[in-house]
Amino acid sequence: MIGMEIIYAALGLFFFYTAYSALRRGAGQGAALAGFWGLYGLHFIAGSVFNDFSNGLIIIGMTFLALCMRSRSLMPTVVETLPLSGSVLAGGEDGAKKSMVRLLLPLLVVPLVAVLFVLAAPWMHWHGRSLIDPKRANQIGYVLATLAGLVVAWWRLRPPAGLPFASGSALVCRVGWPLVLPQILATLGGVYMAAGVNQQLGVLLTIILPPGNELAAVLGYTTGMMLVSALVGNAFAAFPILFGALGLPVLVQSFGLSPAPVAAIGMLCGFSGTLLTPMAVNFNIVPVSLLGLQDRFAVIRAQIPAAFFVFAGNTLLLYVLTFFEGHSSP
Amino acid sequence: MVDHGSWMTLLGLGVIIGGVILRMNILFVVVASSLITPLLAGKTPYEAVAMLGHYATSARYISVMWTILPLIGVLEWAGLADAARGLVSRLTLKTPGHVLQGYFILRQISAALGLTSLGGQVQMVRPLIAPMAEEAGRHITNGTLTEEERERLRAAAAATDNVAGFFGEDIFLAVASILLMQAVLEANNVQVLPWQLSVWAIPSAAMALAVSWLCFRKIDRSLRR
Repeated sequence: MIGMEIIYAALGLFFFYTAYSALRRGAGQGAALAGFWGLYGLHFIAGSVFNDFSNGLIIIGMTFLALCMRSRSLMPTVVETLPLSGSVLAGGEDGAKKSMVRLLLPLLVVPLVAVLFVLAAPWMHWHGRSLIDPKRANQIGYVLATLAGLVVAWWRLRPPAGLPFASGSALVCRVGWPLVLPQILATLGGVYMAAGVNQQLGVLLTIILPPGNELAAVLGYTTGMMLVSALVGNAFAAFPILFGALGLPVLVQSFGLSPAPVAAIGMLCGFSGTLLTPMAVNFNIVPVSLLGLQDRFAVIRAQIPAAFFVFAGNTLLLYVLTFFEGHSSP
Repeated sequence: MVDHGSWMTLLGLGVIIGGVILRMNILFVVVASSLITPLLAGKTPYEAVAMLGHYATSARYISVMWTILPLIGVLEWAGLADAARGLVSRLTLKTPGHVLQGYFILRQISAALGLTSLGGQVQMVRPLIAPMAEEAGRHITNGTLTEEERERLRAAAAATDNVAGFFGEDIFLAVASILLMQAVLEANNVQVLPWQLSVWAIPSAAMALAVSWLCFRKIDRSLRR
């Protein structure tokens, strides 16, 4: 069975290679970079073998090394242009058209193969045993799709051997420590849940809001979804808290709204919050380092109009629905 | 449940707020909060570190998205950014606003059809959309695009991907957020069908499209000067 362990091991090796090339380049922060990516590689290769405490120590060690790297990777001193070589682009208009197809093809192969794989995964059996881990079919499909994309790229572009690794780990170094943040934020969600933070926040909100007022309840619910999503950087973590604390007992059970719009509109208010926070790292901070932007909040700033407009519209929509108590089906 | 010890855990959220306000390293803030919160809930330091390690190890699957980086590296080596710029001159996308609006609609439709992986910051924005928007910007400013404007176009490209993806994907029936809502509702003994949830995402999609149209027009106007 193809499980996640093979993929983790391969990714671990890739991060080891990144550490090695950082060390070879040396230059000041080389040691911190090498240590950071080396520890991360170890976490991937041996994470399942180590006990929880050792894995925790690895994450703490990486955090201190990230402090040594400062946020240089977030605010590059020199904004480089997107690296270009244009080596394939020769031969005028006709050649350019051909190379565009050649370059876009591998990029489009990825989503196509990923979707096909997820659809086909339930039928992949061998002597009654599933060939792939069904719980992680999405991730496995994605990895196989990127490999398929690489094969197509290799066939059409003939890059020098070793280039995928070299350029891939150069990109890893450019993104820097924010690369690990999506994973660590999911960790934070798990820790909060285990420590009971979610329940406490729900209890607190029901105490604060005045009882029996539709507008206050709607505003408390939608604003709460937006703020908690912004705080933890994830609407998925905020939804069970606020739906359980306000959505179901107050909006649905007291005011007679249908549960479906309350849930759906609440989740979308959470999405507005996610667009406004540096805690939603892979959406709002990773592109800042990926595109070499100077202003850490540049992407969030560009999202403010859409986030607030959609939030206001959704809050209004939910409030209007309270006038049709019990008739707001579906 | 409402004992003194567990109320203290809310201070763990305070650590995040304080860290963001003080502009500290976010990785440090998040790790600090996930160590302090269990301590406030009465766990021992050993248990707190083990908790961090446990959830980090089981969340490794999220970092699988980075396996695409070698492919992006190869395509950029082969001149993908240049090719994207070439594409702008051949399509009738003459302004950055048109490029971004086109991508917005494409992203929203494909997300609504469940193809969320057709977009993305690493997969699409950096290699393709940002260079296309910049090239169009160079075109309408006659090559006098300032560093500041270039930065604004790149940020707008990243924002387009996020906004269109967020307010498009919920229309699809089998997306993660719909499944999560269904699971939470079911845990509270409420049965709903996925389409009953997804139909309420349509107003948001329309609102996001309208605002973005205005924003893109504003970008074009300010570049034309």
